[in-house]
Amino acid sequence: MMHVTDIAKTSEIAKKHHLLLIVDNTFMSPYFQNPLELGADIVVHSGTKYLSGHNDTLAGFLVTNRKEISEKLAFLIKTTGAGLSPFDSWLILRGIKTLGIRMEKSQENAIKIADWLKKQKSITKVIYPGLPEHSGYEIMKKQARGFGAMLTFQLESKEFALSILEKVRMIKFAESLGGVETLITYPTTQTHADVPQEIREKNGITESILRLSVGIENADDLIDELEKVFRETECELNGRAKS
Amino acid sequence: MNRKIETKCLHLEEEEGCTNHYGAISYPIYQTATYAHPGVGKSAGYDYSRLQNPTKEHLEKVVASLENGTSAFALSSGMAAISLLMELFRPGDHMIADSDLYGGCIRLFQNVSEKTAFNFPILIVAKRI
Repeated sequence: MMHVTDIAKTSEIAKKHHLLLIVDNTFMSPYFQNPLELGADIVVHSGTKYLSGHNDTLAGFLVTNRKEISEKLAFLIKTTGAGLSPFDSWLILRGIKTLGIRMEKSQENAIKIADWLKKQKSITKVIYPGLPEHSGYEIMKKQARGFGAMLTFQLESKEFALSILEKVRMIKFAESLGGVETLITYPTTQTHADVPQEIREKNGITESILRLSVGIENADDLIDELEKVFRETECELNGRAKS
Repeated sequence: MNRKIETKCLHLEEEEGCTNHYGAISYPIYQTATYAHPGVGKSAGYDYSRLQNPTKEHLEKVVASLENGTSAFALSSGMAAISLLMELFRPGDHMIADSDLYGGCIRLFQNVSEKTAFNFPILIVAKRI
């Protein structure tokens, strides 16, 4: 989870073997990273996430700077008919206007929360590419202008993880990411349920892993809620261990 | 000088100075399925909204400018975008994918795209953390 790929290096390999390189830029958004400039042929976005930014609209994008690909995609979209509706197009246009300030604020909050999570004794791992100990940190510094606001963390047990999902109130237990509201997900049964268990575990997606999409609330309020949820869970689980 | 991304999120440079849409600051929503033709073989610029719609086209230009691409396509969801992308390929084509993709992509590749006879290895391309 949260692997970082060196886009420029991958592009060198792709070019050498005459392959198309397709990069999903959803997590970074164009505000922090531009894969076409790093050698990608096609960029994919779930526009539902940071481009929309408000957890209210579904959208997707394909972007290219290659004429022959663009011509094929133009033919395909008009023929197959899954183009975005006018109203939803307008909602995404409206969302994009604030992309910059949303990305900056979410990232600022994510860094504060990552630091707080690292201090929790019930947490065994915090995975955020903005932490210098993340294996992709140097690649991120080279290819992106930021680290984003997606955090993954591993609890000491599955019970601890499930208890957090049960107890959060302001932070919503919901799928999706990239909106102004902070969401928490359980990748094992939500976003990655269709990945075979073996691959899931190889990627570090275990039953004690949670994923946080950090929004633009006040960071102290987010940390206050996490503090409360963590302390309550510790009390409950410790109490059960004693009885 | 090339404009910075915060500015490109708000202003589409190529359309500045045009007096369309009564000068509306917020791009209008053209909620229409079809468009009247001024005569046989003539078009007012759009024919049918599945082919193109002004609001969608404006959004596509903005997204292309943010990614420094020459063209962008707006679809009804991220998975609709990836599904359309799969239509670029032909039976027998190969694809290498990161194992750490969103689960919905893996579901699409393994249950839907495989019918076009992809040989579909899923390789880990990044180091384990």
